[in-house]
Parts: sequence; C-alpha cells; structure tokens
Amino acid sequence: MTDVPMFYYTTLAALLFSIGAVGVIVKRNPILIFMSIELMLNAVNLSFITYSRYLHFLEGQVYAFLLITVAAAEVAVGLAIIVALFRSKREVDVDAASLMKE
Amino acid sequence: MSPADLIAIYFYFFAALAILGALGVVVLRNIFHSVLSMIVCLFAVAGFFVLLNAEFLAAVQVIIYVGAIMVLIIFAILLSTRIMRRDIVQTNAYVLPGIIVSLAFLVTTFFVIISTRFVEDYHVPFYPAWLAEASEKLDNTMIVGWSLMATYSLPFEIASILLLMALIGGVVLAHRKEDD
Amino acid sequence: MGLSELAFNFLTTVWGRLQILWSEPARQLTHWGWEHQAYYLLFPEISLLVGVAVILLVDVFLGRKAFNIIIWIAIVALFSNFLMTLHLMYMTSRFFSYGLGLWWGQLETIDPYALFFKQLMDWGDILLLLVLFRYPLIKRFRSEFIILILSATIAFDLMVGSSDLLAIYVMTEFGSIMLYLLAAFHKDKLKSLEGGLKYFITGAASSAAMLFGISYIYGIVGSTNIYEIKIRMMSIYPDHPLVLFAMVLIIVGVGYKIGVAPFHLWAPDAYEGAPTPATAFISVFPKMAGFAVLMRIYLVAFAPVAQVWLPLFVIMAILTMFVGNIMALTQTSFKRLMAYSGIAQMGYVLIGVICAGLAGPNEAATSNGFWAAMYYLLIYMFMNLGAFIIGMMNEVSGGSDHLDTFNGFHQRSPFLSFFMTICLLALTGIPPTAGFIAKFVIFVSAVDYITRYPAMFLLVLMAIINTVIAVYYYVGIIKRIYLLKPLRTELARPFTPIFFQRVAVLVPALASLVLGIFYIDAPMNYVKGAWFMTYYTTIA
Repeated sequence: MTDVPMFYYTTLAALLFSIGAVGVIVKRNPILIFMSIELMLNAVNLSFITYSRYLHFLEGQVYAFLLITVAAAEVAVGLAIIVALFRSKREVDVDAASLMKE
Repeated sequence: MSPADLIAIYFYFFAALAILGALGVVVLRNIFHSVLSMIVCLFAVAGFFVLLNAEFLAAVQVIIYVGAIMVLIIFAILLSTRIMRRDIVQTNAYVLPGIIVSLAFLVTTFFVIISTRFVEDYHVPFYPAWLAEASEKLDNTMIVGWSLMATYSLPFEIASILLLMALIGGVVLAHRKEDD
Repeated sequence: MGLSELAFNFLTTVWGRLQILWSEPARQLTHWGWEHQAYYLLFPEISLLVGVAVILLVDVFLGRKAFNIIIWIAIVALFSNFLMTLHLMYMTSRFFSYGLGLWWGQLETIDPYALFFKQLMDWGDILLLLVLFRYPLIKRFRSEFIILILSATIAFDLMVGSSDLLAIYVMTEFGSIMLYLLAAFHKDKLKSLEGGLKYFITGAASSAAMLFGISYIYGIVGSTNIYEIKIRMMSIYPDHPLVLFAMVLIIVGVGYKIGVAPFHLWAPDAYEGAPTPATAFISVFPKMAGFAVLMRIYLVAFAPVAQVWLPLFVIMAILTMFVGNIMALTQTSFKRLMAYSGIAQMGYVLIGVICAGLAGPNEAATSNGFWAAMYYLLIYMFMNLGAFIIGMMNEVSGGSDHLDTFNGFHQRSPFLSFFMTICLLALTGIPPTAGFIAKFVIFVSAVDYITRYPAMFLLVLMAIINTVIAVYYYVGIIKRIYLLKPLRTELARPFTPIFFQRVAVLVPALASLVLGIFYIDAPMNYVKGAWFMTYYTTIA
C-alpha cells in the first residue's frame, strides 16, 4: 500500500477534470475542445484506478481499459467530423455556390 | 530514504507534471504546443497508474493515448490546414465564466470528497478475503485479462464492434469525394 | 407453439450444446459456468450484427445499385431481431417466471422491460427503413447509412438491457457515436457537419461528466451494478453529499442523450443539419433508450434516495416543457420545430418518472407514474415518427423543410395531409387520439400525489399550460396544410408516395389514433408486463 493518501489522488483527479472543463468552455477550436474532453476522461480514469487500488476492487482497471477503448473510437469519429468540416469550409470558400446546389 | 518516501516523491513529481501539462493544454496559445503539453500530462497520468499498481493500464495509456490518439490529433491538425494558418494562435471565449464554473465545480468536489466516507471506512468486505489477497499477489495484467475475458466479455466485444463501426463511419466522413 | 418458436427452440438448443463444447476447457480452468456467456441471450443483437455484416458484403459485391436489397436485408435483420425478442419473452414468461435475469457478469438483463423497448425500436426502425425505398438522397448516402442505423439499434438494444453503470456507459457511448456520425452524415452540407460537431462535443463532454459521476458511485458503493447500488443505498448511504453530486453528474450525461433542458442545446442544430431520416432516428430512438436507462438508474439504483433527485427532476421537467414549447413557437423550419417539440414532449415523460420516484423504491416500477411514462414513450414513438415520416415526404416533394412548404399540402397529397393531421393532433393531445390518452394518464398519475406533495400541483398546472401553448404551433401546421395556398404552383402538383411509404405513414398514424380510441388496454397491458425491473432488488 502506498503512503500517499487516497484523498490526494481523488483531489488531483477533480483538479484535472476541472481544468478539462475550463478548456471545454473556453476554447473555440474544436480540436482543443476535444483535447480538453480527453483530459476530463483521463481524470476519470485516474479516479477509477485510484478507487480500484485503495478500495481493493478488481474491476476498476477493466473500467479504465474499456474507457480508453471507447475514447479511441470517439477520437476517430470526432476527428473525422472535424477534418470533414474544415475541408468542407475550404471548399465553400473556393466555390461559394456549392451550398446552393443542395 | 524509505520506499514510502520515494513513492511520495514520485507522486508529487507526477502531480506537478500532470497539472502543468493540463494547464498547458488550456493556457498555451499555440495549438501544437498544447498537444505537446497534453502528451506530458498523459505520461504523468501513466506514471500515476504505475504508482497505483496498474502497470498494464500504464502501458495501455502510453500506447493508445500517446501513441495513437495524440498522433491522430496531430494528423488532424495537419489535415485541417486552415487551423495552421489562421488559428495557430488560439482565441478564447467566455474565459471568466469558464473559470468560475470550473472553480465552483472544483471547490464543490473538494468539500464533498472531504466529507465523504468511502467504503474502506465502513469495513464492509465486498470481496472475499482470499480474493483480495490473491489480487495483491496476482499479476496485474493477468487480472485485467481474466476479467476482460470472463466477467466483462460483453462490453469488451461491444467495444470491438464499436471500433469497427467508428472506423467505417470515420472513413465515410473523411473520405474526400463521392466516387460516383 | 408456432413454427418460429419451434425453429428458435431448435436453434437455441443447438447453440447451447455448441456453447458447452466450446467452453468446456475454459470452464475447467476458471470454474465459471457457461451461462455467464450465454450468447443465446444476445441473439437479438447478434441477428442485427449479422445483418450489418451481410450488408457490408453485399455493398462490396453488388455496389450501390443494390440499395433496395440492402434495405430489405436490414428489414429482415430487424424482423428477426423482433422474433428473437418474442422468443425471449416467451422464455421469460414460460420458464423463468420473472425474466431471464442478470447475465454476462451481471452487466446485462433480459427482462420484459428491456424486451419492451427492444421490440418498440424494431418496429420504429422498420417503419423508418420503409420510407428509404424511394428517398432521393439515399443513393448518395451509400449503404453505410443503413449500417449506422442498424448498429445504433444494436447499441440501444443493449443499452435498455444494461444493468450496470459501466455497461450503460459503453452502450450509450456506442449509440451516441453512431448518432454523431448520422448527424454529420450529409458531409456536403456545412450545416450537417456543424450540427454533428456540436452534437459530438456536447455529447462527449457530458458523457465525461457522467463517467466522473459513475466513478464516484463506484468509489462510494464499491460496485456499479444497478441492483447492488440500490441495496447499498437503502442500507448505508441515505444522505451522502457525494451521492447527490454523483447523481447530478449522471443526470448531465443521461439528460444530454434524451435532450431535456438545460441539456438540449445541441438538439435544434443537430436536427436541422442531419439528413431527415437521420433526424427522425435521432428524435425517437435515443430518447426512448435514454429514458429506459434513466428509469433503470433512477427508479432502481437511486430510488432509495429519491428525495435528493426529485427536486432536480421537477425543475428539469418544468424547464424542459417551457423551453421546448416557447422556442418552438417561433421556428420556421419543420425539423427545428420538431426538435423543440420533442424536447417539450420529454417533459411529460419526466413527470411520469417523478411520480414513479414518489411511489417509493419498491413500488416505483409498479406505480402508475412508471406505466404512464412507458405508455407515453410508446405513443410518442408512433406519433413523432409518423409526423417525421410525412415531414420527410413533404421535404422530398416540396424541396425544403421550411414550414412554408406545408402551405396547401392537401392539394399535393390529401392522403399524407390527413395522416399528418392525425399525428399532429396526437402530439398536441387532442381527445380522440392516443396522444390525449398518454397525457391524460400522466396527469392522472401526477394528481394522485397532489394532496401529499403540493409541488405536484404546480407541475400539473405547468404541464397543462404547456399543452395549451403547444396547440398553437401544432395546429399552425394543420392550418398551413388546409387553409393556406401553396407558395408556388409547382408545390400544388400531386405527389403520390409508393406503397411502402404509405405503409410507413399508415402504421404510426393509425396507431396514434386507434390506440387512443379502441385498444387502450392492449398497450397498457403490454407496458404493465414490463414491471419486472425491480425484481432483483427484492431477492438480493
């Protein structure tokens, strides 16, 4: 058992989560908002692992593992949307009539 | 220096690294610097995982988050060239409300956690003693693998389906032109 | 014993034998019973997955000309999903008097409650797919559109049966990711991508908040199993500050999925941008699955601490109804209007959930409020889907989703106009329709509590005021359809939907009419069969 109290870890997780929340609210660039969300998810991971370690629950690590997997899928989709959006915006600049054709 | 001191030192080191990295994501103006500082933060979190006896998760964190997700984000930044040109210097909005909301959140969480008695205080055994002891001795990776294949096989398999579908959807969206 | 049952009994027996064969070595190693991985209970979802795989193959080999075949495959997959849920229902009623219980490491349940939602979503999906047989844009959307709809249905199917917060998170996220893709699917349109991005960012942030709440629950309770949480809540953590905090965080996550105020901000943009079939999908299925999950979390796990979350829900319900209805008044786009009206409709379901919460932890799932909420969701699916399908056809024939295209719609298609009127009247809650019965049942269940809880009087009053507000914009569309003249002459040109589209219009519209006049008992009994949800709380 480590000597660092569990309280330190949970507070740290809350701190990371709050910083991520600041990023989500403050940032305007979608990629940065997105990174802030990843930050929040990391805080959650830390929280799960902490409980799993200190309270002797075995599943916390599995939760974190699944969470990372789901986050990866989310990243793939989110970045695809962002890339498509920026590509579309650039094309709108090139050919402004493309919105009218719909 | 006792091992406990060493662990405490590591904890403070990683904590400083994680907080600085996270602040860097939010504060830095250059988007690429933000990504680099995010990587620092992710490494620090992986360090916490090692401290918390979750070595497998630490490896997963480094491989998936740093190795895959952050690289993907860097690629996305490169692909959306407009960001590179126009938004290389970030603009922020709602700075004050954002900080206030998050501070309120942090303070609430802090006081709520302080006033919380977690289960260890109740001495309620959720698992039989032999299982808890075994989990101390067993290889961490083995426990995770065992759980994933036995109890948590359903979300595990669903996660694989999810990855496949996200792949299909991502390809459809990011595909350059309709090929008809 | 029908033919299908025989066939499925045979198939499942074979499958069970195979399972034993496969798992024998593993069983000796781990002494887990093979029933822990009873694939047989996942047959409904596996059938959809097989459908997805077949569609992928057909798409590769036959190309885009085979679009009708692809839709047929999807319909067959959904129908087999329905048959298998029927089979499971038969099994639950015949062999296991209280359902098949918790499976897969207690992550998933097969109970009538889950089967109810699974079957509803099958029917809704089939109706939606029928319209796509001749939907002009669908050729450009490729088969991936159908694949995403099917996989979202898989996710929602698993979501309504999840009995563990972790499983709920994974399935919810699966479904949501599919919905982000569907919302952004019209990638040539900037609005679609922007709506999808907005939906994605708010959804991802809210589910991060939900996860944070789940991690606290995990830390306090030591388990994420719904039924175990309930037991712990009843005994040791009645008024715990962290419980309240975690519950608020979980409301944020689930609230975004069902689109209740103040978590509704993504809805109008995502609805407007998404391709209309995707909008119809987003407007119905995630809300149903989200409410299924919400009720399972709050009426089982958090039911013992209902006094903590009920005030939040009351505020949310009032806010939801007012925001939805007042914002809907000024909309000019049909899809945006339906977005706001859908938000408002969810407020009524919340009233049902509140009443069920008031009934107490052990009576929640047999209370009138619970049945009223379920019944409302059933009727909501039909009436909203009907209105959306007709709106879709109006958009096809009229060129845009602007409300002006509804002007003189009866000249274009008297058939569609008539059924649109029925659906809109049902959404308003005008007496002969099922929408009225649904609202009535909700109000009656709320009135029961007025004497004991004065706040319920306020809630009912607000709901009635909102019903009146809603008349304005729903009847406004009917006025446009019958009283106003078409904007341009080509908008008066007759439009005849094909047979399948007629079916897709008739079924929901008639359901939202007839279920209110003749067969009130049938859906109500169907709903009441789903009471079982709390069984495990009493035995464990």
